[in-house]
Amino acid sequence: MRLNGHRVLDYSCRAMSRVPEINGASIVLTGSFNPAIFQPQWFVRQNILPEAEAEAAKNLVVIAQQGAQVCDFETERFRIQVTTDRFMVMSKAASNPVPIRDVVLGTFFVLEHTPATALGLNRHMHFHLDSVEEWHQLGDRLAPKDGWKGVLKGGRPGMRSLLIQSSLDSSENPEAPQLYVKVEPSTQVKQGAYFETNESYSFAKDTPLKTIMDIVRGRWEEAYNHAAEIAAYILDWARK
Amino acid sequence: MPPKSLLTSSTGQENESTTDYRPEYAKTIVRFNQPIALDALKQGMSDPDQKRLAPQAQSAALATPTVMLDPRRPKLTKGNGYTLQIRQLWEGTVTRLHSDGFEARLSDKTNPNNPDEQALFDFEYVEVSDDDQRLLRPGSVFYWTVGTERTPAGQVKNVSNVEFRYYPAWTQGAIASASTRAASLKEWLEQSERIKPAEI
Repeated sequence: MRLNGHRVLDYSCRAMSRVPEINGASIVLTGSFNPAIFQPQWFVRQNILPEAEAEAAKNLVVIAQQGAQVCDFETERFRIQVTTDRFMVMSKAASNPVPIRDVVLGTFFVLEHTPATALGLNRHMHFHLDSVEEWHQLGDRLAPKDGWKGVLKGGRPGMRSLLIQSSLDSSENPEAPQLYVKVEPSTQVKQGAYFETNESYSFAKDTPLKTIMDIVRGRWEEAYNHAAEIAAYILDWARK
Repeated sequence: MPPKSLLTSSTGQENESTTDYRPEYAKTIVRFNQPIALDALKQGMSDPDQKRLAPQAQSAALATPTVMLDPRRPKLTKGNGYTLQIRQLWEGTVTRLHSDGFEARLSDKTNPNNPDEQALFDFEYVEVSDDDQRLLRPGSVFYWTVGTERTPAGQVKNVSNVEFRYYPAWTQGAIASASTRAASLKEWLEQSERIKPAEI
């Protein structure tokens, strides 16, 4: 095919049935980090970020004092926040979230001996619902109010937040990776629903970083798409 | 101790909350200046010594604000108002360069069940940033996003964006390490070949 405006329009018609109004993702690692090094120009020197993007980084906060360290900045596409025990890359609402994987893989390809103890593959989506009725129905189906109406006399009880936990595999192993799904009324989209997924992996202290990066490499896209499937399924189920 | 979900989840929504719950991640991590420092300095000093304490030192110590930096988890918000609704996402691999564009193999990330496709990207229609142009060569990987961008003023426009994948170059140390490993594997393979089946 030849890419031109007409073709783009053609492809946009393949749109997914449920497209979030606001879409984002993040990858979080816990462990032991040296925040002072994670400055925009460091990412440029390692060929992890384009130079122009790093030069235009905003809200840079770098504190490098003994026992109290942080590096936090935003670029056009990402927000990167590192403390001594937490590394996070998050996409911004106006960008494609998938490349945050490349930032993580690139960073820890360079810092290959970083000790890490947990990994989170996260996605967050704000959906607009077609009607107020559908919006209420989602909350009512996920959290029926019958039990609450007997004790909360003040008015109509409503669901503010729901967190569901499930093992990622069918084993009974308590150390198995866990999936957390949070559903809330959206604070960003009128008549909207917010979905947040968190695939959480815990590791023994001596787990090689390469093992963790293999999970990021192999699982990221699946986790990202799975989040959308969960949200689409729940939204459709609630409407029935 | 927060549940594991709080350890590796990242954002949550922006909520106006009056709860006194203060999550683990919102701990105070640094405090500049101790306002008591000047008082402590004065303690044990005679009055004349206190007067001799350089006025600029006093004012500097007093002027330094007490700052508590609280790296709360960032929130996924509309921010400056721009949002992108991704309707289609491909991952592409450049297969050939032309003077007016490049060819690529596309893998559909929106619907991974779709087969790969070949596409010709024409520079007349596709903008590659200055930084990304140096990555444009056979084998390089990029993302092609087709979607709808909403501006702060509420305007909606279709966008098509190509962004190349960045990955760190191999360091000399990594190359040396890989070379050593390759050499030992080669040696092992050659030794294996020399062993006749009857000897196994």
